[in-house]
Amino acid sequence: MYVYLKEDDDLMDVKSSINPRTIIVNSSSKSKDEVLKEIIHSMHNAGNVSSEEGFLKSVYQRESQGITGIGNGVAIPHGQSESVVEPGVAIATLKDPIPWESLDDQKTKIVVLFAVPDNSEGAKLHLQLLAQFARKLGDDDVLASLKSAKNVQEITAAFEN
Amino acid sequence: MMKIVGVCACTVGIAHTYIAQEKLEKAAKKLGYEIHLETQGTIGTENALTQEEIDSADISILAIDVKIKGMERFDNITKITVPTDIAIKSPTKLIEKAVEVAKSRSKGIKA
Repeated sequence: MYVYLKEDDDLMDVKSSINPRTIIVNSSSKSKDEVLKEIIHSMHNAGNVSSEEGFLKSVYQRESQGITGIGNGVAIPHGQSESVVEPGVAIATLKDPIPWESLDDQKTKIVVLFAVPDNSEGAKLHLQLLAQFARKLGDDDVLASLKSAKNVQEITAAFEN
Repeated sequence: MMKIVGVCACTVGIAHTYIAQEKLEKAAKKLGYEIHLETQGTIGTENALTQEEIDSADISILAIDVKIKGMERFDNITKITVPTDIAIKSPTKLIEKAVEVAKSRSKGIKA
């Protein structure tokens, strides 16, 4: 299950928690629903989720509990579901900003979706990486690099600082 | 030096908790205050606060959307309780407000 978390791997390497297969650059999605489905499809293809529908439901459940647009054009939806077979994070940058409930009422340009399994016991190491990854999103410098990123390499590089 | 302690905890415990932690730490550091934040998330408690650390602090900030473990540790310290959203949206204002409250308390003025 933890293909890239070997014993000798540096657990502090946040970058290793990003699978290039779940990074979408310049998505032409026009709505929250459309981009969520697009991202979740990539997570299904990458083996993070077993049921796209099941996971989407959990994401909307979280959406109903509070705002996930953290401001600055960034949204961090997430879902916790038995459909998540491997915890992970997916990123989509949007060609055109889309409406999203946010703390500063700005449209969203970057969507970072977290997938968390129902039973977190067996996935603790991986979830620790996701938490460190989330922390990076609290850093304005990381957000600035993320927003100016034009390809997958630049997106992963944004999390290196 | 003004010393702030606190806890961050959100509903799913994977994103807001840690973003709030990072934002508050950055803001406090920039303002020149010492801060120690515990996180309670899906991965459990990290960066745990001891009773001594809490007792020696000037003020506590609880950026929480859910009930937290060990709330009784904060019985004897002034608490500023807010949702994680506030910590993420206005970290600097929140720290400044906490410091203002701490200062007025230490002068014996009820805030």
